[in-house]
Amino acid sequence: MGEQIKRIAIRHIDPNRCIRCGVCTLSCPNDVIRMRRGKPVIVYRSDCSQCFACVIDCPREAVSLGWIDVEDA
Amino acid sequence: MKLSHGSMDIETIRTDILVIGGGIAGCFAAIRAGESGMKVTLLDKGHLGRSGTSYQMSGVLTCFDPERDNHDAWYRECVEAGDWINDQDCLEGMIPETADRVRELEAWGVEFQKEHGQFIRKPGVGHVHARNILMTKGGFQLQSVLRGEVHRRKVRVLERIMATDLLVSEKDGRRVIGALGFHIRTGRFFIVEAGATILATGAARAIWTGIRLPMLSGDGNAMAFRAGCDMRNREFAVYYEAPADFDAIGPGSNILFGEGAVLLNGRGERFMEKWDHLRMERATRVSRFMAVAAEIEEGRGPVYLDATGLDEGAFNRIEKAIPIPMMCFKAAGLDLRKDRIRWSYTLADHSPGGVRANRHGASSVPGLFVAGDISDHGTSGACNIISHGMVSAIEGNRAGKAAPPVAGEANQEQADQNIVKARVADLLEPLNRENGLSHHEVRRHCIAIWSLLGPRKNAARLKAAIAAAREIRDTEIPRLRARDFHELSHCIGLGNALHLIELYARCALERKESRGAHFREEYPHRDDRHWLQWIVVGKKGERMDEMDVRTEAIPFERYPLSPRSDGEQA
Repeated sequence: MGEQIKRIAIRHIDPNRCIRCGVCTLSCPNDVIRMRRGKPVIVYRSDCSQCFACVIDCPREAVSLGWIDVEDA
Repeated sequence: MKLSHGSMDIETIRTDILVIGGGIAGCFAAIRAGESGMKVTLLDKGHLGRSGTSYQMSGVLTCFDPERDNHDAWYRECVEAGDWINDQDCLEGMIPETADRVRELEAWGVEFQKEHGQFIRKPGVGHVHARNILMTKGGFQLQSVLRGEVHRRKVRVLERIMATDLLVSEKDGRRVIGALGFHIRTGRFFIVEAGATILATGAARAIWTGIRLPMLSGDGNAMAFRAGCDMRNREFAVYYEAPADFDAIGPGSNILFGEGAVLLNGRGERFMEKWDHLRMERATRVSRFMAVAAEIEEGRGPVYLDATGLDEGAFNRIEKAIPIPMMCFKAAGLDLRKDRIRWSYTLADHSPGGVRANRHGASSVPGLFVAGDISDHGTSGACNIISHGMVSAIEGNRAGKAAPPVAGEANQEQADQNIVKARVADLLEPLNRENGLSHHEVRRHCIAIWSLLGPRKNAARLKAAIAAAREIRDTEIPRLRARDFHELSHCIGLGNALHLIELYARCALERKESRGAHFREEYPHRDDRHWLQWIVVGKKGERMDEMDVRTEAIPFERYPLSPRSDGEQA
């Protein structure tokens, strides 16, 4: 639908490290991550404001941010 | 998702004091109000402790040390940086209060960087002397601590709630009696009825690039305006310098420049000497963004932030104080020790300007207090040199103390269910549209307007900004489509953000001089003869664009400092 632009944003939640505690879905100020069927899923990636709350609060260093194409704005 | 009036399920909560927003200001307000023994409820659009800008703040707090600092000299610096339009009633007492708040934060567990048991002190932006102290784990530890203190005072915390409206008394048509909001995941609506309401929704950051935070859409500003609040100093929208190639919420200017990072233009020259030969890169935010903008616009860009000359001790302090920007630089593939960072500027709403408040945070509307970046920061005038986090802590503290007596005297009034239901139906409209515009698309159009607002302003561009904002408001906002409640929050937020654009532009048109962050090409000089005045704006009719823009002389006759007594031009 929209244009894609390159931005630093949440890129990946490593399923091998993730213990499905859901803390990232609580921390995210922009409501980017939601629990779906018991595991965290990146739902609104373009709303990521690269604040690193998910990275800081994750007990298993499962979340990573980096350059990624997201829907603009 | 179809929602009809009939199925509407709205929960009503009664409380003594309602706090909207959970950043530093909202937390301090809730903590103080909670200590009164009254029932306090706090709404946060995100998760308390991890929402807004506070937790991402530069890890420095301005702090007065009576042993080392000269209070009167500092007071004068605040007024001079504020270009003489500070509300000195608010500034009074502020400087010693910085130390009170730090003492409290430390007792609660916030960790500060120390040497031989003493705070490490560094100068910050706008400072000649070392007046900032440094945290060891940045804003996120501070906000974790504040979250704990809020809970310890038995404050009821409701998270992921977007407040949409302040509820106004049907009896007198003025008093704020609480707020309406909804859960952005479940869509459940809440009416919170309160004896006093403290608005602490922070700055708006949803519609510009560089320091973008999509959830901060200026909701508090729009709610307060609709409820009849006066706004002050709205023309002083401050630009921030920030990385040019990626977003960084709080890029850490205070500590980076405080530790000695420099700005270089495309020729590799430092250029701040022309703007502030004494403080150089530590110039006030206003001077610095003006300088960065001038270098870029006059063809001497790109501008770089260069911290490569700092020693390891400085990097250790920086890494502790601003962990989040440091992670951001790393994710961008940059290393402050080796790489220069392309630097630019962007508009920010952490400006002096907002809902008018007296020194206790009381707005012009009964029952409503404001604290933090939503307030007009009367203390700051046209530019702050006390860190934003500290200003917010003090304002939250003051409002949290002043609200309980007001709530105690209030006769709690119930919201009119019919009015609420009609409003909820309006708010839900984007969910009922089968086709329409996405909030991404409309946001892109909103962002494009900011370039018309500055940093160098003129009447033609300001009028074009108003026209563009109205065009989007009239033709695009009514076509916004939300697929769920998360998207609905953005659709509502965009309308609020557009209102802010119009407020900025209307006030900027009114001020026919240049002062602080407000630079008018047609009137490039400060004009104390005509403009030692505040611009106050409020609602005129029922429509949001009917604004009563007026000027008000600053009451220097009762202030400790006045430009006239100072021998400056009058």
